[in-house]
Amino acid sequence: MIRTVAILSRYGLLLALAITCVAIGLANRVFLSPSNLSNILLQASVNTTIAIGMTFVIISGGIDLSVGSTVAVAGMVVGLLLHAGIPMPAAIVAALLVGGLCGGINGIVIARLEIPPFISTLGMMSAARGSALMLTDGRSVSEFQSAFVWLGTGYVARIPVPVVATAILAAVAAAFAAYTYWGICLYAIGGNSRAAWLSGIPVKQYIAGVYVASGVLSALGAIVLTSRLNSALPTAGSFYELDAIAAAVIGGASLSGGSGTVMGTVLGALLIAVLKNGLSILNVSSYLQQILVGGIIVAAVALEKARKPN
Amino acid sequence: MHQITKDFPGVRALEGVDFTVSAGEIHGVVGANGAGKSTLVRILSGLLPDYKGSVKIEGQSVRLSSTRIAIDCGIAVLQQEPDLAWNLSVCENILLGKRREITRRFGLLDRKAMYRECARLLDECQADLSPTWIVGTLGRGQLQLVQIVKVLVSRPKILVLDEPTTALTGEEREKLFALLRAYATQGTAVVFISHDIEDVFRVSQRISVLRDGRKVTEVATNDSTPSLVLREMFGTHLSWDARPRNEHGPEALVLDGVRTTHVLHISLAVHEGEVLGLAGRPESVVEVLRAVFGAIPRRGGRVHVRGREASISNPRDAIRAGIGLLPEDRARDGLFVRLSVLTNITMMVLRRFAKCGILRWHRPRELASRKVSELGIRTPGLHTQVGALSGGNQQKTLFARWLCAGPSVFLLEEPTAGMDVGAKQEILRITRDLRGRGAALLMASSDVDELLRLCDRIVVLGKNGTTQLIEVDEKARSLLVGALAGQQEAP
Repeated sequence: MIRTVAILSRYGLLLALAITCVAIGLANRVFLSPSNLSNILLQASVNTTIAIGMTFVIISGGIDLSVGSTVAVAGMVVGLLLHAGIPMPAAIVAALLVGGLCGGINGIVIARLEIPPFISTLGMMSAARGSALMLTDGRSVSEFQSAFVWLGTGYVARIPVPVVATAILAAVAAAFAAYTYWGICLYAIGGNSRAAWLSGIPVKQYIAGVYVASGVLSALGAIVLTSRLNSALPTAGSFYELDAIAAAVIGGASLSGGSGTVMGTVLGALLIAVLKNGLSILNVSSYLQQILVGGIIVAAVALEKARKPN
Repeated sequence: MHQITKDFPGVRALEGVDFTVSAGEIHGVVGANGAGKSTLVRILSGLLPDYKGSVKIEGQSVRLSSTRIAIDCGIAVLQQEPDLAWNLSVCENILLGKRREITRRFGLLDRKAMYRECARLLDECQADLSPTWIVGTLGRGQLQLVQIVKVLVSRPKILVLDEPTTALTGEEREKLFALLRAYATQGTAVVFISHDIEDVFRVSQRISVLRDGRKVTEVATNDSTPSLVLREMFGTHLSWDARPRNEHGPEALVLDGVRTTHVLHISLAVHEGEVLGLAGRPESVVEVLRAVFGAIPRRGGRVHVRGREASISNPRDAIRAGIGLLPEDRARDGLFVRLSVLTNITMMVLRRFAKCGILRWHRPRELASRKVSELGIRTPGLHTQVGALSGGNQQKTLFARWLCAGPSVFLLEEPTAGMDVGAKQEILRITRDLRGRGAALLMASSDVDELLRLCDRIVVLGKNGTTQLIEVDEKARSLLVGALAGQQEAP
């Protein structure tokens, strides 16, 4: 049943994505050009990476508002370490660890101290942003070695590296959610955490783990972003949490927990990227774009609700 | 009320119940779990508009098709669970529905008048509360008082109280009873619904007894005794069926002086191949099982499983020690309603079927479909969401989950509560099968018939920490009912 619903909503969303692409393409041919399509995928990759982590958090019944700030602090860490002459692999691992640390603190506060996820991650959102600003006193760090810049701007078989990386990540994450014991447990915890606990599932550990994963994936997004911009900004990642939540929710995740799929989230992130890109190509003002994107998020969820009664 | 009948899918909750309360009377309604008490309350509240039969109030026929209509008819219902605004004060909660009385010009609240009015009402009800206290900070008994005052404010013609005393202390009970008597003398008709015979006897003039959705009798309180009423409540027919005496195996589960919030001390032993019943106040009985399973803290005592002391501080420990718990509230504590039958059944053993973390669904699917046919779970398919199944099939799904996990000790909480007769039979069969296969079962139930039909021995938990052990045989019914009555009558 879960599977049929997932497939249904996946196709519904796929259809919506296709219709949007065709409509924008008819209005302006440039939109469907290979270079623009590749550009859309590139633009979607950071949000997709973060939104996949967010999907697991939402499936488990939580929310992570700190992902945007985690992007900033992890980006600053990798930037500063590269400038300090630390080898690239070490700098990347350090950034991922910092992301994991942010998520780990969230996880401990939520699972051990039983502070609601909304509050704990709101706190982390502020604290991580502050840390990012403190690291350089608010200045940005730019110009990195070419190997690092390649991560965000290079190509593998004519496909941008971040797109390849995100695709692999999505496949692994989708398999994790659907085909591993831990994935099933997350659905169970999000659906009924009491029942999960009474079935002997170590609920607290799993919940903590989900936030660690979200933090690490945010850091991964930060590395791609820093590399693409060839610059680490302490103000990077603002409002990324909203895009990530929107992608997950458009993709069929329910904020009450227990449902959501990685594929849905990927399509949701793509839809957001297509809209933003398409509206820009159609010369819609960026202010109006925000209004439209907001409306479309709500409409997508309303449609989802209409298709699935109760 | 005349010939009230209410069907739920698969269950007839009430059948042809006649019921009359006169003004100024306090009328008790008693019945075991699932007898139809709460259905009656919900019909009176207007929550179940599609009932059959007729309701007359002061000679006028009324159709209780919505809560609004019920309120307009002068029916006020005190629900079992408090429905109060936790963030507001006692005063605001009590006067919430009385906009006209508490507002001045421009819709501004007249705080002074509110507090004055509220203090007067609280005083009238002898409620020891301050109007300014925030409801969320009150204890269960105090909440109940606020509820009662709130209900009485509307001066109802008919006051329905659903299990009003469960959360009250002795003193609070007395106050409530005095209050009810006072209101009754002023002409209010009071319907007092409870499973606590003692309370019903103290406060009501007449008592109606419900059993399995039917009204079996109505008695005047003065002409009856609690044990007579209990006999009616649980039925007097002998349904004890001789069963093959199992040769009990060794002790599988031993409780040694286990202590919980309500139960001071309980020691018992369940043998392999035995069903041991646990009867008494529902809250205490369930508490014992929960404490053994590690779902609530145990205040003391030891638990041995198959001769080894098990240190259990959470459900995980209990499962490792070989204990399984079938919870009473299946939706809240057991099922993953949005997950499939397959996942629900195999949840606890899935891990074994994973290779390098990746699940192979082939064998879990085989296992689940075997359990589905073994237990007769009626489901459209293995991928059906469990939430779509009926209560009986949901319970069987939970059974199937635990059967996969294969504990040697099963703790059952009210295993057939809320099920229709057919499903009950099947659950009973499954339980007997388990017993036959040498499992040890500890079953908490408030259904005397069920206890007598399933259990080999029954432990009755008394109010003051005493326990009585009853061997189930021809004489067990009267012993059990007597023990339950004694427990009810004790001060």
